[in-house]
Amino acid sequence: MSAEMVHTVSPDGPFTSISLAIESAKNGDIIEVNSGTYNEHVIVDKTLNLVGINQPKIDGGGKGTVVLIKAPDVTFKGFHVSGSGESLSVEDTGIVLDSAQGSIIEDNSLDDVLFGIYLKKSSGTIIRNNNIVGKDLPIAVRGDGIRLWYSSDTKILNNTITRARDLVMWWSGDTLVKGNKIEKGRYGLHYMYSNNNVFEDNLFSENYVGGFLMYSNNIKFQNNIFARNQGPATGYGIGFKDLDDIVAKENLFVDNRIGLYMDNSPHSVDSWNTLEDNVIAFNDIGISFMPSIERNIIVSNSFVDNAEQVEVRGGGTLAGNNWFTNGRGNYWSDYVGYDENNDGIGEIPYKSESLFESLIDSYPNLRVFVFSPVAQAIELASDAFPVIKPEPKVTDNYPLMNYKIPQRYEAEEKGFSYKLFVVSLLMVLIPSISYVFIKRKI
Amino acid sequence: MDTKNILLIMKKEAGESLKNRWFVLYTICFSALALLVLLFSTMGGDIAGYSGFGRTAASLINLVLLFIPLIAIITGGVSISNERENGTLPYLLSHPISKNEIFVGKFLGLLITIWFSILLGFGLAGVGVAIIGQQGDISGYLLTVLLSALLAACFLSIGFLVSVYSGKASKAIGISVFLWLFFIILGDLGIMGTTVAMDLGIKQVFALALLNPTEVFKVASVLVLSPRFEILGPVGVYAIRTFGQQGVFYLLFSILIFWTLIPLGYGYLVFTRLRREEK
Repeated sequence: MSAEMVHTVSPDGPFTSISLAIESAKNGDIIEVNSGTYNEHVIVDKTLNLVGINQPKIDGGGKGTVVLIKAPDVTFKGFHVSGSGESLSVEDTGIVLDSAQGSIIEDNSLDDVLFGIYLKKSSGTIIRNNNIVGKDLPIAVRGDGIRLWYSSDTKILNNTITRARDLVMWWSGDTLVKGNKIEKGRYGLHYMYSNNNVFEDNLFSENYVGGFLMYSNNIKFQNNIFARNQGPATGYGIGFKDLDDIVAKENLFVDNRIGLYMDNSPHSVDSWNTLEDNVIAFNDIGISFMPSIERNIIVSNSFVDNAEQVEVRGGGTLAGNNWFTNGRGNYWSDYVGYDENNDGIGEIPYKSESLFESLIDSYPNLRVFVFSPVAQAIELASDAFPVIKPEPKVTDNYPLMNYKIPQRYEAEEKGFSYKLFVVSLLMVLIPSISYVFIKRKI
Repeated sequence: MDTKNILLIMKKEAGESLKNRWFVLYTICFSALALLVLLFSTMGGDIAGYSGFGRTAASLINLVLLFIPLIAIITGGVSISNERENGTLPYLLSHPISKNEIFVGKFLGLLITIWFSILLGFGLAGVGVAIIGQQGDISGYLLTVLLSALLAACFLSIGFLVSVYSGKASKAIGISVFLWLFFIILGDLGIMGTTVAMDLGIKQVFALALLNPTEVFKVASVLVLSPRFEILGPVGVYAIRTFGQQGVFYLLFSILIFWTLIPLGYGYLVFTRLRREEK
């Protein structure tokens, strides 16, 4: 075989379309595509190195799949892929990798595509620095931003997915998902039968659900942010169903409807899940458990100002989980105890035994009364007459006195609010001036 | 009815109330509490740029819910009964002013007084928070103030109805406090009990909850502060699906206005037809 050749594509030749260049190239060649718009559907059936210079645009004209890669070890870099069809049944996609093991998809921008990047049986692939924007369709007829189907050992790094349906992973283990931003979709992460995966430094925000993972084991989550995933109806930061051996550390679950949702996780009797050093803040419900879930180790997390810190659907307790180990529990913003010896650990246990909460766990319709004085009155009554107190949902014998927010999550100082100041000042001045006026008249 | 006379009574009433120590006390309490709540919530209220301003305000709602109805209903309760007890009402009526004018003028005067107190309280707290540096959601904050003003109008008008029937201020205060307790706690407690005992459905709970103006105020505030209704559970989702966001909003505002106009109108009719004062 001779040395690799460079084929140049540009609107004025030598090749005027990418398909023509591919036709005359051999395995291992480089195809350089200069900027311009190429109205074609590209099929890469050789191991090639396709490089876009200044983001040439490949436009599918609103029909079918735009780029199909069917050979292993292809590099596809620096393109603008646009205009796929809108059919969910044949899965019209921006870039499909079909049995293209070890390929690299890098620095592309995709828009007006139904599915973004679709990996079928393409293990060992790297998907890096791509920007995917879905079609502006109702959520039910959108396609997935990135979809993995029997593609293990994949790396998904620093991509941005906006307004797509899901990031889906099925039967795709040993994958690293790092530094991605997934916003305004349905499920940030949607997931089945995929083991040994690692998620780091991702942001899942303003999706219906940040992530929902099912039937898998040995999953690591570190430093991810799950923010403002608010449904309708679902609104989980992250949900686990039948998931074993999860380790979630230093993640931030903030302003979701439900921070974490646990359904039958862990599933196996010899499996334990670990949730450690996470910040769970400003959610309507901090963690929501289906009844009788056991074997979760939940330690050193900060539960800050969730309207309801822990929910047990249908009522009951969560005694089968470890809410403290080795003399350390969690921080609870509604803890009212004290720390006598200044070791940072409260002297009396934290008990989540709110009568109102256990009422709304059992009668969800009563949730309409949250933030009402009646909710507080019920708490007062149950404090005064402990006989009507429910069994505590959670007992943390070593509640932490201070919450711990990983440094990178700390907010920047907010300055003086000029607008609020003026508005408030007006509100003070109107009655004050009127008062003077009324007084003078009498 | 003569607008001039109404204005005269209104000014007299507002002027007297504003000089009253109670008014000063209400305002001080209200701004201090509002400021405290805002401040306490601000301290832990911001993580990675995600703030809990909605929740800050939600905790304010509870405070507002206890405080405003109480001062409004008592102010309304003693308005006419006090003048009766002191014998100043016949004196007032001996002037060329009709009963309708007295009733309307008094109501407007007291309403303005309470609105001043609300504006001052929220305003001072807002100034404090602005200086410390919290970027709040200003339209939400203003709508909360508007809702509080409507809530005050509701309970002032209920208070006036109590006052019309009461010959003595002490009696009026007693009835007012009981009604306040009823609206704040007992009524909701009753609905909750009924829901649990009879296993009421979503629609029934929604309808029953909205009978109570304080509950309406709370639901409206939640809608203003965080436009997702899931926080109110299945009932909230039902409301938003059935009426839409705008629809729920209009519904809630109309209920508050209804609760202002009906007791006030009834009180007005009773007061203007009573012969008691004219003996």
